[in-house]
Amino acid sequence: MKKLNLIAAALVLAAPAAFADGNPASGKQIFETHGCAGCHDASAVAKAGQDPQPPILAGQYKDYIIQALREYKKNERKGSPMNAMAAPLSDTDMKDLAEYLSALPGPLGTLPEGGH
Amino acid sequence: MRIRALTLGLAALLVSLGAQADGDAAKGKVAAYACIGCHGVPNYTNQYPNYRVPELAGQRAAYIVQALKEYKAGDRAHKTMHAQASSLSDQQMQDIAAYFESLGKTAPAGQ
Repeated sequence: MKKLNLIAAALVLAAPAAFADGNPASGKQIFETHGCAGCHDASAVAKAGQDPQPPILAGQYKDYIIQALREYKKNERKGSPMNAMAAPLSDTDMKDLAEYLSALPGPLGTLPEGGH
Repeated sequence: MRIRALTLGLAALLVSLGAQADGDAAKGKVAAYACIGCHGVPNYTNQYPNYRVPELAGQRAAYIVQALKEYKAGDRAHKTMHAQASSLSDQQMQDIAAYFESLGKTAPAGQ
Protein backbone atom coordinates (compact mmCIF):
# COMPACT_ATOMS: atom_id res chain seq x y z
CA MET A 1 0.00 0.00 0.00
CA LYS A 2 2.81 2.40 0.90
CA LYS A 3 4.59 1.55 -2.35
CA LEU A 4 1.43 2.42 -4.27
CA ASN A 5 1.29 5.78 -2.51
CA LEU A 6 4.91 6.41 -3.41
CA ILE A 7 4.26 5.59 -7.04
CA ALA A 8 1.18 7.81 -7.08
CA ALA A 9 3.18 10.66 -5.54
CA ALA A 10 5.94 10.20 -8.10
CA LEU A 11 3.43 10.31 -10.93
CA VAL A 12 1.87 13.48 -9.60
CA LEU A 13 5.27 15.13 -9.32
CA ALA A 14 6.14 14.05 -12.84
CA ALA A 15 2.93 15.53 -14.25
CA PRO A 16 3.75 17.52 -17.36
CA ALA A 17 4.26 21.24 -17.01
CA ALA A 18 1.29 21.72 -19.29
CA PHE A 19 -1.02 21.26 -16.33
CA ALA A 20 0.75 23.84 -14.16
CA ASP A 21 -0.08 27.54 -14.10
CA GLY A 22 2.31 30.08 -15.59
CA ASN A 23 4.69 32.16 -13.50
CA PRO A 24 3.35 35.72 -13.43
CA ALA A 25 6.65 37.22 -12.22
CA SER A 26 8.38 35.73 -15.26
CA GLY A 27 5.53 36.90 -17.43
CA LYS A 28 5.91 40.45 -16.12
CA GLN A 29 9.61 40.40 -16.87
CA ILE A 30 9.04 39.17 -20.42
CA PHE A 31 6.34 41.78 -20.99
CA GLU A 32 8.64 44.55 -19.83
CA THR A 33 11.86 43.47 -21.52
CA HIS A 34 10.54 41.99 -24.78
CA GLY A 35 9.03 45.27 -25.97
CA CYS A 36 5.35 44.43 -25.53
CA ALA A 37 4.62 47.61 -23.62
CA GLY A 38 5.73 49.65 -26.63
CA CYS A 39 2.40 48.92 -28.30
CA HIS A 40 0.20 47.42 -25.61
CA ASP A 41 1.19 49.99 -22.95
CA ALA A 42 2.97 49.21 -19.67
CA SER A 43 -0.44 48.63 -18.07
CA ALA A 44 -1.44 46.28 -20.93
CA VAL A 45 -4.46 48.55 -21.45
CA ALA A 46 -3.49 49.58 -24.97
CA LYS A 47 -4.21 53.19 -25.85
CA ALA A 48 -6.62 53.90 -28.70
CA GLY A 49 -5.59 55.73 -31.85
CA GLN A 50 -2.70 53.49 -32.90
CA ASP A 51 -2.25 51.98 -36.36
CA PRO A 52 -2.40 49.02 -36.32
CA GLN A 53 -4.47 49.11 -33.16
CA PRO A 54 -3.16 46.69 -30.53
CA PRO A 55 -5.74 45.01 -28.32
CA ILE A 56 -6.10 45.58 -24.59
CA LEU A 57 -4.55 42.50 -22.99
CA ALA A 58 -5.11 43.23 -19.31
CA GLY A 59 -7.67 40.87 -17.84
CA GLN A 60 -8.13 38.73 -20.96
CA TYR A 61 -8.61 34.97 -20.51
CA LYS A 62 -5.18 33.38 -20.25
CA ASP A 63 -5.90 30.41 -22.50
CA TYR A 64 -7.08 32.77 -25.21
CA ILE A 65 -3.88 34.83 -24.92
CA ILE A 66 -1.83 31.63 -25.31
CA GLN A 67 -3.94 30.60 -28.30
CA ALA A 68 -3.40 33.97 -29.99
CA LEU A 69 0.37 33.93 -29.35
CA ARG A 70 0.58 30.42 -30.81
CA GLU A 71 -1.34 31.49 -33.91
CA TYR A 72 1.02 34.42 -34.43
CA LYS A 73 4.09 32.25 -33.91
CA LYS A 74 2.82 29.62 -36.36
CA ASN A 75 1.83 32.32 -38.85
CA GLU A 76 -1.77 31.16 -38.74
CA ARG A 77 -2.50 34.81 -38.05
CA LYS A 78 -0.36 36.63 -40.60
CA GLY A 79 0.82 40.07 -41.53
CA SER A 80 1.07 41.49 -38.04
CA PRO A 81 3.93 42.92 -35.98
CA MET A 82 2.95 40.12 -33.60
CA ASN A 83 4.44 37.48 -35.90
CA ALA A 84 7.96 38.70 -35.16
CA MET A 85 7.12 39.39 -31.51
CA ALA A 86 5.76 35.89 -30.89
CA ALA A 87 8.46 34.05 -32.88
CA PRO A 88 11.03 33.78 -30.06
CA LEU A 89 8.53 32.89 -27.32
CA SER A 90 8.54 29.39 -25.87
CA ASP A 91 5.39 27.65 -24.63
CA THR A 92 6.51 28.46 -21.09
CA ASP A 93 7.04 32.12 -21.99
CA MET A 94 3.54 32.27 -23.43
CA LYS A 95 2.05 30.63 -20.35
CA ASP A 96 3.92 33.01 -18.04
CA LEU A 97 2.84 36.05 -20.06
CA ALA A 98 -0.74 34.85 -20.09
CA GLU A 99 -0.75 34.24 -16.34
CA TYR A 100 0.56 37.76 -15.73
CA LEU A 101 -1.69 39.56 -18.20
CA SER A 102 -4.91 37.80 -17.27
CA ALA A 103 -4.61 39.01 -13.67
CA LEU A 104 -4.08 42.68 -14.52
CA PRO A 105 -6.91 45.16 -13.93
CA GLY A 106 -8.59 46.55 -17.01
CA PRO A 107 -11.83 47.33 -18.79
CA LEU A 108 -12.40 43.95 -20.47
CA GLY A 109 -15.44 41.87 -19.64
CA THR A 110 -18.09 39.49 -20.96
CA LEU A 111 -20.75 41.05 -23.17
CA PRO A 112 -23.88 42.01 -21.26
CA GLU A 113 -27.23 40.44 -22.12
CA GLY A 114 -28.80 42.06 -25.13
CA GLY A 115 -32.41 42.85 -25.71
CA HIS A 116 -34.57 44.42 -28.34
CA MET B 1 -31.89 83.77 -46.56
CA ARG B 2 -31.12 81.21 -49.24
CA ILE B 3 -27.40 81.31 -48.43
CA ARG B 4 -28.13 80.64 -44.77
CA ALA B 5 -30.32 77.69 -45.66
CA LEU B 6 -27.61 76.32 -47.93
CA THR B 7 -25.00 76.73 -45.20
CA LEU B 8 -27.19 74.95 -42.68
CA GLY B 9 -27.88 72.20 -45.16
CA LEU B 10 -24.20 71.76 -45.90
CA ALA B 11 -23.38 71.71 -42.20
CA ALA B 12 -26.01 69.05 -41.58
CA LEU B 13 -24.65 66.97 -44.45
CA LEU B 14 -21.09 67.20 -43.13
CA VAL B 15 -22.17 66.24 -39.62
CA SER B 16 -24.07 63.23 -40.89
CA LEU B 17 -21.10 62.10 -42.97
CA GLY B 18 -18.91 62.36 -39.89
CA ALA B 19 -21.34 60.22 -37.94
CA GLN B 20 -21.24 57.53 -40.63
CA ALA B 21 -17.42 57.37 -40.67
CA ASP B 22 -17.14 56.02 -37.16
CA GLY B 23 -19.28 53.37 -35.55
CA ASP B 24 -22.67 54.00 -34.05
CA ALA B 25 -22.70 52.21 -30.71
CA ALA B 26 -26.50 52.22 -30.46
CA LYS B 27 -26.78 50.43 -33.81
CA GLY B 28 -23.89 48.22 -32.80
CA LYS B 29 -25.75 47.02 -29.72
CA VAL B 30 -28.53 45.69 -31.94
CA ALA B 31 -26.16 44.20 -34.54
CA ALA B 32 -24.12 42.50 -31.80
CA TYR B 33 -27.02 40.38 -30.64
CA ALA B 34 -25.57 37.36 -32.45
CA CYS B 35 -22.28 37.75 -30.56
CA ILE B 36 -23.78 37.35 -27.12
CA GLY B 37 -24.47 33.65 -27.50
CA CYS B 38 -20.77 32.93 -27.13
CA HIS B 39 -19.09 36.15 -26.00
CA GLY B 40 -21.80 36.94 -23.48
CA VAL B 41 -21.30 33.75 -21.51
CA PRO B 42 -18.50 33.88 -18.91
CA ASN B 43 -15.84 31.24 -19.58
CA TYR B 44 -17.57 29.95 -22.73
CA THR B 45 -15.28 27.49 -24.51
CA ASN B 46 -14.95 26.49 -28.12
CA GLN B 47 -15.76 22.87 -28.92
CA TYR B 48 -12.31 22.29 -30.38
CA PRO B 49 -9.64 23.41 -29.91
CA ASN B 50 -10.46 23.92 -26.30
CA TYR B 51 -9.98 27.52 -25.23
CA ARG B 52 -12.23 30.27 -23.92
CA VAL B 53 -13.61 32.76 -26.42
CA PRO B 54 -12.12 36.20 -25.73
CA GLU B 55 -13.74 38.86 -23.59
CA LEU B 56 -14.83 41.62 -25.94
CA ALA B 57 -16.57 44.20 -23.77
CA GLY B 58 -14.27 47.22 -23.46
CA GLN B 59 -11.88 46.16 -26.24
CA ARG B 60 -10.46 48.79 -28.61
CA ALA B 61 -12.86 49.34 -31.52
CA ALA B 62 -10.23 49.53 -34.27
CA TYR B 63 -8.80 46.19 -33.14
CA ILE B 64 -12.26 44.55 -33.21
CA VAL B 65 -12.80 45.83 -36.76
CA GLN B 66 -9.41 44.50 -37.86
CA ALA B 67 -10.11 41.09 -36.31
CA LEU B 68 -13.56 40.86 -37.91
CA LYS B 69 -12.10 41.73 -41.31
CA GLU B 70 -9.46 39.04 -40.90
CA TYR B 71 -12.09 36.46 -39.96
CA LYS B 72 -14.23 37.46 -42.92
CA ALA B 73 -11.29 37.25 -45.34
CA GLY B 74 -10.14 33.93 -43.90
CA ASP B 75 -6.85 35.47 -42.72
CA ARG B 76 -7.75 34.19 -39.28
CA ALA B 77 -8.96 30.61 -39.57
CA HIS B 78 -12.07 30.00 -37.48
CA LYS B 79 -15.21 28.58 -39.02
CA THR B 80 -17.74 30.12 -36.66
CA MET B 81 -16.11 33.54 -36.63
CA HIS B 82 -15.76 33.41 -40.42
CA ALA B 83 -19.49 32.76 -40.72
CA GLN B 84 -20.34 35.50 -38.24
CA ALA B 85 -18.04 38.10 -39.78
CA SER B 86 -19.13 37.24 -43.32
CA SER B 87 -22.64 38.38 -42.47
CA LEU B 88 -21.43 41.85 -41.46
CA SER B 89 -20.92 44.91 -43.62
CA ASP B 90 -17.98 47.23 -42.94
CA GLN B 91 -20.34 49.69 -41.30
CA GLN B 92 -21.86 47.03 -39.06
CA MET B 93 -18.36 46.04 -37.99
CA GLN B 94 -17.66 49.68 -37.06
CA ASP B 95 -20.95 49.91 -35.17
CA ILE B 96 -20.41 46.69 -33.25
CA ALA B 97 -16.83 47.65 -32.43
CA ALA B 98 -17.92 51.07 -31.18
CA TYR B 99 -20.50 49.39 -28.97
CA PHE B 100 -17.94 46.95 -27.54
CA GLU B 101 -15.43 49.69 -26.71
CA SER B 102 -18.17 51.76 -25.07
CA LEU B 103 -18.72 48.95 -22.57
CA GLY B 104 -15.27 49.44 -21.02
CA LYS B 105 -15.46 49.47 -17.24
CA THR B 106 -12.54 51.74 -16.51
CA ALA B 107 -9.92 53.23 -18.86
CA PRO B 108 -11.18 55.74 -21.40
CA ALA B 109 -9.68 55.71 -24.90
CA GLY B 110 -6.73 57.98 -24.27
CA GLN B 111 -5.77 56.60 -20.89
